[in-house]
Amino acid sequence: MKYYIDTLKGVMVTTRHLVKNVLRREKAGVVTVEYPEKKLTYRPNFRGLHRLTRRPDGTPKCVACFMCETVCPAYCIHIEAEESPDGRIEKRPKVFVIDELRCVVCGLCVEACPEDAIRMDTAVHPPPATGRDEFLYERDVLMSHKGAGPEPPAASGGGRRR
Amino acid sequence: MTTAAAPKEVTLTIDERPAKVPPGTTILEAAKTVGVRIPHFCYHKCLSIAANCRMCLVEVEKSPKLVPACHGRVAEGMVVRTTTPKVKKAQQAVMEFLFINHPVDCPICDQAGECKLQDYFMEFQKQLSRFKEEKVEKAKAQPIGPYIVYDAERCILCTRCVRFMAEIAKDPQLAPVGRGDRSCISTAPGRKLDHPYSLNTVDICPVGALTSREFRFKMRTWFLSNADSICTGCSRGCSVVLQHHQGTAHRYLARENPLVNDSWLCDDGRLGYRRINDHRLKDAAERKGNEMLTLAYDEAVKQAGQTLLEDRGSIGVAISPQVTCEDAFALMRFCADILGVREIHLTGRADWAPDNLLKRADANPNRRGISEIAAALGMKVFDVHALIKAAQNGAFETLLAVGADVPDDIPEILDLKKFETVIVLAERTRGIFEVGDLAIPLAVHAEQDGTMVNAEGLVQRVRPMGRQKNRAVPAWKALSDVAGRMEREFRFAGPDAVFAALAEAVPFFGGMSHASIPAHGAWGAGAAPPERKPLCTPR
Ligand code: SF4
Ligand code: SF4
Ligand code: SF4
Ligand code: SF4
Ligand code: FES
Repeated sequence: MKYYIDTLKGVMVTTRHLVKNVLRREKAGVVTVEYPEKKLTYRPNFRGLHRLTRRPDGTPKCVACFMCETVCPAYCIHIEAEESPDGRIEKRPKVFVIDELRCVVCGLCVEACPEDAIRMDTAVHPPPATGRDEFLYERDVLMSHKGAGPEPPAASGGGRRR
Repeated sequence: MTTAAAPKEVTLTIDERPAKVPPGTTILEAAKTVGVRIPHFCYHKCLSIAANCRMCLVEVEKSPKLVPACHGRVAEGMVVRTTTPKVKKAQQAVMEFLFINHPVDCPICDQAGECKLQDYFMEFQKQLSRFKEEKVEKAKAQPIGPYIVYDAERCILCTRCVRFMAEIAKDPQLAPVGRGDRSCISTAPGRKLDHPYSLNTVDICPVGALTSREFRFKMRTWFLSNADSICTGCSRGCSVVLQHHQGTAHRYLARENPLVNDSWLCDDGRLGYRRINDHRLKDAAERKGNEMLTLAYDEAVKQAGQTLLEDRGSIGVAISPQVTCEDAFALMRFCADILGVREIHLTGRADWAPDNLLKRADANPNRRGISEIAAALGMKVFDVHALIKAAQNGAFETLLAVGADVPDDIPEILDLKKFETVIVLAERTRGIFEVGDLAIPLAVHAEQDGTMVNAEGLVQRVRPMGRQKNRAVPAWKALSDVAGRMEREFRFAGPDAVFAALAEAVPFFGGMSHASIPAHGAWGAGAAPPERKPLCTPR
């Protein structure tokens, strides 16, 4: 008997919350947004789709140092390096692919990058796609993404540090 | 006063630890014997002492100034301290000076991860540079030879490379030029760093000033795993560390071995790691017309078993001295016990030009091992010409070959096609594979736990990378599977068991086991360790 009473009590609690949430939304502090009719504005530090920043001449700032690939806990970055024709930069990415489907959006690649070459400041989500391959973002696609915030300062050559 | 005989040993204390070493030993080497590590850049065990970097400064009691440990010799009753505040301050100062004009290119520097500057910064400097002026800029990424790129900004002018070229290669192609913060290492005008041992300079350069054009930018060093192995370029069998990542070999580094190669490798051998990756046979294959088509391993084993059963009595056997002792032993036992064949033909790579440092004419690493096994098992050994002749006059119908390498300088090698059936355990889609009818992928030395014997009779281990990008198997495994299809009992529990059986049957390996072979290798029974002049500069 006690079992049935306790069960009923539980159902009552759930029902009370349900009624409250549906009928008196604001007061109940419900945060659900009626997407897509209503959209929230993201905070400036929101981690969106990656992008590769560029030098003033349009080439990638990335020097293919593999820091991001090394730190990535989801193993979703794949880089292949090559010689850069600019002797002071020396090294550049021939291939740079991010598997956005594997990415856990931790932002560690951005933290690790010594060149400010990879950012997650695009303020957009990876758009849906119909195949896994479409989530493999190649170097040139990543470079075409626009940042929502200010651009990084123009880079000095290569990995030079004072 | 009577002159006392020179004492055999000197007793001293290093960081409160008592040490006993022969007189004339340097403090740095003496410290190693009691487990005290003294940081150093310019000192190298096999080169003359330059004592120019001053990283190794230590405090010696009663000496007014700090002493460079790489140069200072031990004396009776000496008290050495390596961690006093004075020493630490000196180390910090040396590091700070080295970094004054250093570009700190680490993100684009191939040495990052194995750089002594990086390591010592974390261990001994631990403070940011106070240098505020403009750094001196020097030439970067200069190709100074066919294999090597030089970066003058990163060079710390330790002259290890210069000393290697002058003292070991005996071809002084490098020299320090210029003065002060403009100085750098250079070849003579119009000359190149192109000695066939030049890549050793990349190995010993403590920083990223010399990088290998071949390895540059292919891989970051921290991704690489190490396997102790040997170079299979020639019958010297130099000790190497094979560095690999996910089943791909990336480079050989010299592994110090005073019995074979000291700290060096020849460039041809060093770059020979590429044969581990290139042209590999990934799956079993059978001939259909002009093509070799992929086949399941089990099916290939079944076909091999059938053919060998049917053609019994008309089978020839070939073995390449590129394969391990384990594979060779399994093959010869298979011949004797199952096929009833008592003759074996040695194939292998063609000889190349030897030199007076390390490289030997026989470009195969295990001819000695295979000969010893063949002799003990009573197999008659013939060369590749006998094999070609047998093919030409139809001495037998079926050829069973383990290892596909053949001397590529003999055009008649194509006559091996004349055998009715060629069954080959092939590492690569080259050599005998090209005339083969049925092929099973064979694991190379870097995919096997095994042994090889160099020309002098030193038995050395090779170890597997642990991951494979193909379905290659060792020959002892493939042959036991084939024997299973022939309804014969021929099994080994694993590589250690193969070697145990080998050590029992072949006196040359008597008493050895995989576990008992030390890192430097073990001399086979009856092998006389050769009179060897170490490739080290005498002190
Ligand atoms: S960490 Fe930055 S510079 Fe380095 S590879 Fe990644 S994006 Fe390129
Ligand atoms: S040599 Fe290369 S890895 Fe070492 S500190 Fe200099 S730039 Fe960095
Ligand atoms: S190139 Fe390397 S080995 Fe040669 S002097 Fe410079 S730092 Fe030393
Ligand atoms: S001497 Fe022979 S074993 Fe040594 S590195 Fe050269 S090819 Fe390899
Ligand atoms: S290692 Fe002693 S001075 Fe360089």
